[in-house]
Amino acid sequence: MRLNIIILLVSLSFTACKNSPEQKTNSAEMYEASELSETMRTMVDFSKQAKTSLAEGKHIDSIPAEIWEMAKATGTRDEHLESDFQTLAGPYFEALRGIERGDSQSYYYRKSIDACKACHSRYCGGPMSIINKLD
Amino acid sequence: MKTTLQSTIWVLLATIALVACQNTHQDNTNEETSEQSIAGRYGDTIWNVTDAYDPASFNFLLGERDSLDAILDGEITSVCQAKGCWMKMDVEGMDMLVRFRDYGYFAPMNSAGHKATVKGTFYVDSVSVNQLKEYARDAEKTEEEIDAITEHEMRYSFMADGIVIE
Repeated sequence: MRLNIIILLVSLSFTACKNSPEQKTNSAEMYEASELSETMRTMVDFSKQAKTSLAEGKHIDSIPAEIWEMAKATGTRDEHLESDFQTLAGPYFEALRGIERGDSQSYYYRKSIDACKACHSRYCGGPMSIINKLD
Repeated sequence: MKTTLQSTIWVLLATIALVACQNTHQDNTNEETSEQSIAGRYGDTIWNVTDAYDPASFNFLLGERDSLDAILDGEITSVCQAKGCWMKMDVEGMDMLVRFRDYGYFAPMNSAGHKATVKGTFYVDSVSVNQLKEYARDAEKTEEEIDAITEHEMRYSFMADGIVIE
């Protein structure tokens, strides 16, 4: 009799354990930035700083190294593997090379922003309002 | 003697099972507390949900305008599955595309079906074929459905400074 009660207790505790709240939490599934998104945030920071420097008549001294790796950075939907993306990245790097050469930096800065706009007209238009402010 | 030994083993097993069970619950609780819940405030939220316009006031204030700063509430019907960078809402039967000001914050990608209140600017916008295809991709539509998009659309749109999800 005592043994039966114990067996019953053990079974109950196992069942209770199984039925324990597998509660699908209401936890938010938030986006985690891809490598490409992180690089683009660096690009925005660089451009904001470059715009301010040019407005103050200062020279743009350096370009963050990771920006040169932008076309290789993994995108949320693997955009970096698409030929359109690689083609659209070309003018941006050309503009950066112009900035790096050091003459006509304002001209090449504007070219870099034009390249951002062209690419975001094709891919992911969300950041366009930020890019427009960099113009 | 044999019965006593058996009983001891069973009691031991029951204790182990209960302790293991309790530990599992504790782990779950810890996990939950470190996670962000869907319900919450996103973006600029220094405003009151209770100030949301009722449909009659909204329509009256909009009148012939093409845009209006407003607080609206409704139900989230879908969310961008790539990033959570846009969502669609049903506001009193109006299908409204909500985007987030300056790409400054994103919505939880699993928030469809929740009630939400948004504050920002309502406007009617022409959405290009490219953008429509992009939205369709974000919503994980099939290639066939994406290819079928060939014309731009006028959409009820909303640029949200902030959202509150219930």
